[in-house]
Amino acid sequence: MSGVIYTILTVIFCALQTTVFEHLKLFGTRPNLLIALVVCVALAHGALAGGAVGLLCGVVSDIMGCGVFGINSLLMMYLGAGIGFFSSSFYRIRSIVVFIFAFAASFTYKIIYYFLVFYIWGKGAMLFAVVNEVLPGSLYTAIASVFIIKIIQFVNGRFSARAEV
Amino acid sequence: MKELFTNKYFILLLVVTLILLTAAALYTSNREEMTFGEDLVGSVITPFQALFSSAVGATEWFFGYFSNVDNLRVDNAALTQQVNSLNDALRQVEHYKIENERLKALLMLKEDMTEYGIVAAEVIARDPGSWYSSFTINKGRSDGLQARQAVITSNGLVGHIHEIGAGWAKVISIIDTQSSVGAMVARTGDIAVIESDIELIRNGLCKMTHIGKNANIMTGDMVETSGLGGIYPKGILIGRIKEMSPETSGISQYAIIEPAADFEHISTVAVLTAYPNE
Repeated sequence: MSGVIYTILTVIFCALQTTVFEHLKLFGTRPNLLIALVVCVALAHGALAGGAVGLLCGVVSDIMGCGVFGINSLLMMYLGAGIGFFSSSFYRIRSIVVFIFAFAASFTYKIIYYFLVFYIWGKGAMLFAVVNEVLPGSLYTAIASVFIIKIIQFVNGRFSARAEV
Repeated sequence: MKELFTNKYFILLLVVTLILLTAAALYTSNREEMTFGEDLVGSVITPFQALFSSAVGATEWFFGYFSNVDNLRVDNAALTQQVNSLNDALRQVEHYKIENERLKALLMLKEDMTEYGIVAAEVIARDPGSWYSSFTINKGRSDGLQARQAVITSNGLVGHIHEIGAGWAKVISIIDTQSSVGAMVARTGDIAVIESDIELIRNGLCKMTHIGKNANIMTGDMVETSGLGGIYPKGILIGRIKEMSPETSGISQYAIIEPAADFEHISTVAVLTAYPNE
């Protein structure tokens, strides 16, 4: 059942990211809600769920975007699976933990993406990309993840309560 | 090491990676027509995007209405005056139009825009990634559109349809890094190519490259499509030259172009479905 919920959240977050957040830019950039979702799910449920939701979010990003097909799918799946290994290290997921992981994940994702798609083809200076996109985008994504983890915890709470009944 | 390769999660990760790499190799080279799966995913997401887009539009309109009442009064007075002068100009234009048509008939020339097939579409979403300048429109194959058709606004060229689904399409703008447009300086007839990079995208600009060292191009010159390349018809306004600089090699120069279309606030576009025979 939680798989259905996360699929619905993926669709809604993708739609929000490409429409509403175009008008809510911070430092000239938008948050990547899908990366924030992957990080939150990975921390809450572990590597397998993180990797699966990462794959789903990546495929959706690849299909809805105009970039090279497959790159988002691979990067988000690896991020989800990788972050999921840390999930057992935390008894309770605090906002600051989510913030730090989301910032690190977004930063890594954006740097690798920039390097593979732009830098090696000579389509943009590294310093400009880091200052104008990678850092502000990662910060905004990390801020968004603090709110998204609350949604995840709410969904988990509802399901565990229902299971107990 | 042996444990790693017998771990079922690692094997799963490896299999998915291989499947994705195969899919990337198969679909990246020719993604004009979407697969059934891609179209299905897009058909699920685009209604949500259209819903959120119209909600944003309605919110902007609502708050804009109250915050701009004073501005509207001033604008109204200015516009009334402008309408009067435009009416005079319109009468003059009507006169020229009749004369122009008569001369065209004499010269057996074809008209331009009236011979284009045009389908209007709404922009419902932007690219999920922040690196690109592409967007989704709410018209697709079922509306008679095809991949590689040019997309314009009343101001000028916007881009072309990159991929197309049944009821939606992805448009790559001319300021996107993946775009390449054959261009011509209207005044001098110099041919060049319009390209972009992530720095220019951020500023809503693009770059005209491969301009000859001795080309007599000036700031403010109008740039239009050259018709070369097979996607864009000849003579559509791209923008104006903002600045000229020599390439580092010294054998050619490049120009920064300020596009005529406003890519930040683009909401309605027209897709050219048929071009006049040149």
